[in-house]
Amino acid sequence: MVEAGIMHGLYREDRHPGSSPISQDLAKHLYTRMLCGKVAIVTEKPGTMLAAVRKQWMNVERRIRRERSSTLDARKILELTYQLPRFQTLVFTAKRPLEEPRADVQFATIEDFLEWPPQCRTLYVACPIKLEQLHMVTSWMPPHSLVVVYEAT
Amino acid sequence: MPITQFPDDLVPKQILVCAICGQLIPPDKATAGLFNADNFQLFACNAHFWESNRFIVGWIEFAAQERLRVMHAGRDPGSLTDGGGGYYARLVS
Repeated sequence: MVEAGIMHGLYREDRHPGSSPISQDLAKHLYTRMLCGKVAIVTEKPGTMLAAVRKQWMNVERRIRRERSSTLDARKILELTYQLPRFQTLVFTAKRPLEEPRADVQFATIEDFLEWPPQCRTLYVACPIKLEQLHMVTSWMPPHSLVVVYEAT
Repeated sequence: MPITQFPDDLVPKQILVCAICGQLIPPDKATAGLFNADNFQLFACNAHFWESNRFIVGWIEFAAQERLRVMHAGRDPGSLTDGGGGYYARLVS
């Protein structure tokens, strides 16, 4: 669990995934946030978490494609012509941030992010970290960005 | 639980509006979503999050409407969801 504390200029959202895995909650939340810019995910096991989130992410993508094929609403069709290419070109990585700084969704440990703070619009914290680490890791995020903290972890 | 902190240059709002159903919601029942055409953070009822299709389709409808607003304002329609804007450091206190 991450203590409550002020991070200046940012929104904070605390989430409890309940009985479902964090990866499922995170993939769905990621759907809106990937449209806002880069995303970083703090986790103890970046490779494992990436695989789990990606699997859930494909379910979200399938839903979007189903919506695209079933709708007759011209506005929705136009919207999905913007969103679907973004899905296809989204780059997920569990490499260290120094090795692949241009990824759209970066999974890394807190130690790696402290070395290379993410410049992202959304940071998900999916493992316990200290408040001072949270402050440091969010220091390069633009104002009004979002930090999502998973409480059950 | 959900929204527990607002940026300190904004007056914390007691009531938010759900971008999906239009209902008023307190921050502890909200989840953050997209930016609107004016670049403001929007929220939705956390309850929608668990209604699989409602959540995703709701945001698609919202984004479609905001993208039209962007186009009518003569801006690049891609700017709504390309995560644009430069990055810079905030001061850490």
